[in-house]
Amino acid sequence: MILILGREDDLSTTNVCEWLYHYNAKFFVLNTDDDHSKIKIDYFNFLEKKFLIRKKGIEYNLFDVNVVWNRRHGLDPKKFTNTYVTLDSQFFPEEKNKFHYHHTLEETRTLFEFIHHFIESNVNYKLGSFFANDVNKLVVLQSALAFGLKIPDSYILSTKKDLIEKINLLSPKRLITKPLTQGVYNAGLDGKYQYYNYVNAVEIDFVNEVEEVFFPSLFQEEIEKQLELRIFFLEDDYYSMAIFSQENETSKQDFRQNEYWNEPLRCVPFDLPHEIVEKLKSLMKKLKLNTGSIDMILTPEFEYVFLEVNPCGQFIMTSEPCNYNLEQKVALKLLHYDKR
Amino acid sequence: MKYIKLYAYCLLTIGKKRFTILDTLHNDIFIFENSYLKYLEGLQKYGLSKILEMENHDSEQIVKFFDFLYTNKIIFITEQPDLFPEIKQIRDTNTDVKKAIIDIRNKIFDFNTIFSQLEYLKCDLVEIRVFKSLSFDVITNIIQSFSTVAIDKIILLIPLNYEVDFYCFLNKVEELILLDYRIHFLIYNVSEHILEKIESKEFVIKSSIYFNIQFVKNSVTGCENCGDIKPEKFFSSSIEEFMEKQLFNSCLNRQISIDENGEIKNCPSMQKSWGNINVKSLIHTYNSKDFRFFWDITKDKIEVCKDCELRNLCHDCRAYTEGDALDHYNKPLKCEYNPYA
Ligand code: SF4
Ligand code: SF4
Repeated sequence: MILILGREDDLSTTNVCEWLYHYNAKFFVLNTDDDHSKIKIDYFNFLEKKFLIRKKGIEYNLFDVNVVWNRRHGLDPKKFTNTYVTLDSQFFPEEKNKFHYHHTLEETRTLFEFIHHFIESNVNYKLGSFFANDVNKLVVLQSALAFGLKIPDSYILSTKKDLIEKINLLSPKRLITKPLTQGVYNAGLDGKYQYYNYVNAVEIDFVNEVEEVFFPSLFQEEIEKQLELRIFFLEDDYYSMAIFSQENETSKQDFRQNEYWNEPLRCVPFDLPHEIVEKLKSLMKKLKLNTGSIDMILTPEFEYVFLEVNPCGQFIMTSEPCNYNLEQKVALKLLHYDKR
Repeated sequence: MKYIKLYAYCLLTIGKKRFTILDTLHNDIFIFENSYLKYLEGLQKYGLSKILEMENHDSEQIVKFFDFLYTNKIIFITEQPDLFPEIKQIRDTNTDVKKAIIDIRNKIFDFNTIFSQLEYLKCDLVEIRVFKSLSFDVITNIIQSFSTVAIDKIILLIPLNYEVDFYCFLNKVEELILLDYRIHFLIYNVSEHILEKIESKEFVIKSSIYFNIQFVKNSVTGCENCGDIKPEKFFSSSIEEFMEKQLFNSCLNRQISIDENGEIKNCPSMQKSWGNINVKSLIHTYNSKDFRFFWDITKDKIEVCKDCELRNLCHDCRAYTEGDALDHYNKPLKCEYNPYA
């Protein structure tokens, strides 16, 4: 049996499931965001080889799971319940300091960690891993560099003085800031801490308002783009795509370039040089990732710059425009190990 | 050196006199005279300035052509064209039923059996074409049989029933759709008068069923109404569809049908019957090699169509063809397009 730990709104999961259905595979899906009343943990015992989970009234034994695909971030303790009441919403609504709430959440978290651990240690094959899905951006950059990949010049800074110095040093190139992980507070502005979960260019106006000392944050030189590249890895197979994100000069006159028209992204298949592929493969191995999406930039000078790896990125956006049919390939991979 | 390259999402089809560029990203179809083909090839091979030197008497035309392609994001300029491979065709190995057509006139079949067989064949879509007024009880029965199977969608093509009040009719339809949103209705024989009132919102279609119901003026007398090919109505398709049309028959691939007499066919209009539904199973028929013979009749095997620049957009028809009906490689009868003109 194949288990998919997915997310309800994830098209890649849905499409892979369609293929699994086509192949008459035995599989079931547990979604991070499954309606809280749907998943229940019924019973567990080592010796009886029973780990029973119920979804929509159907019971599954996790001991029967041969293959797991960690599509997203696994099960969400906050959504968990056995009583049709989520922890999140209604368990201890009155409690001011939420002591019991946090205690129960901790309990659940431990239980869920065990579930993931149990699944991963019990299966023949896992695609993606719950425990590797949160990669450390800095560790990744360090490894990328070690394998000879070019990375953007990166700094962790915490004082205004250093920040201004770096901006002047890199000029006319701009400096950008990125969150180290999702959910970390970043450079303080105006005494308040601001939260960024996407890439921001650091403008001088912004710097003027920054506190003398701020929370250590990641800054990188902005890389000039000819193309953005996205490379999806499935074990040793890789599928590359180029994204033309820069505008054609003449497109300014283009009738489609008005504010009502959202220009679709131009994505095409791309042939990544062999040498880069080998480095990326080594990196994936080192990070113990057997699947994931890598973001790179091709500079106008034809340099390949590594940006980051996303262990559970959407691949439908690579699969569709390039006709790679990745959904079927993922389904076949899962099926292959289930049948062994 | 700068080269010119077609974006991979722009797919080329070359005919005898013209060629088409299907822009699958912006959903556009461009048709050019074949005289431009050598410019397109030249641009890709030699770049703009070189080709202008070589073809200097046409330079104005070439520049215009180039500008058109560039502003419409059909081509881009690069120093390393080899980095950008074309989109590869992949021969889809999925043979699940894509569409099942079932015609009804006087006979009502055993839909429990039919639907469960289609479910086994992992059918995506069932289209039921009803050629005469049916009572809602019969329709309800069909839908009841459908309710328990895992099939994505059902479309019921039925005539508007003028014996009952329009709202009454609409209410019935709505009741059925609300039971199950996989159910879709295509109502034909709708008078101009009623269509106008729907258009002007005098007749109100509730938003809850808005996407599941459609009204058309056409009258449908039987399976012979199918098979019209109108190039002016072709619309662009996805990369996947384009590839499929090159590899398989555009109409009959992964299709199975039951005609109004219960004969199992590739399409109800075809002569060849594979046996009656009373005695043969859809599963057995569908899985036989002979049944799938038509799936492989691609456009490049069909007379005239093989020279047509629209062949990868066209939906084809194998039931009504020119010339001998037993020769399966003739041009569709109901197409008036001439790729040689
Ligand atoms: S039927 Fe043949 S000739 Fe007519 S539009 Fe289609 S491909 Fe062209
Ligand atoms: S073969 Fe012709 S008549 Fe039959 S379904 Fe296709 S278009 Fe219609």
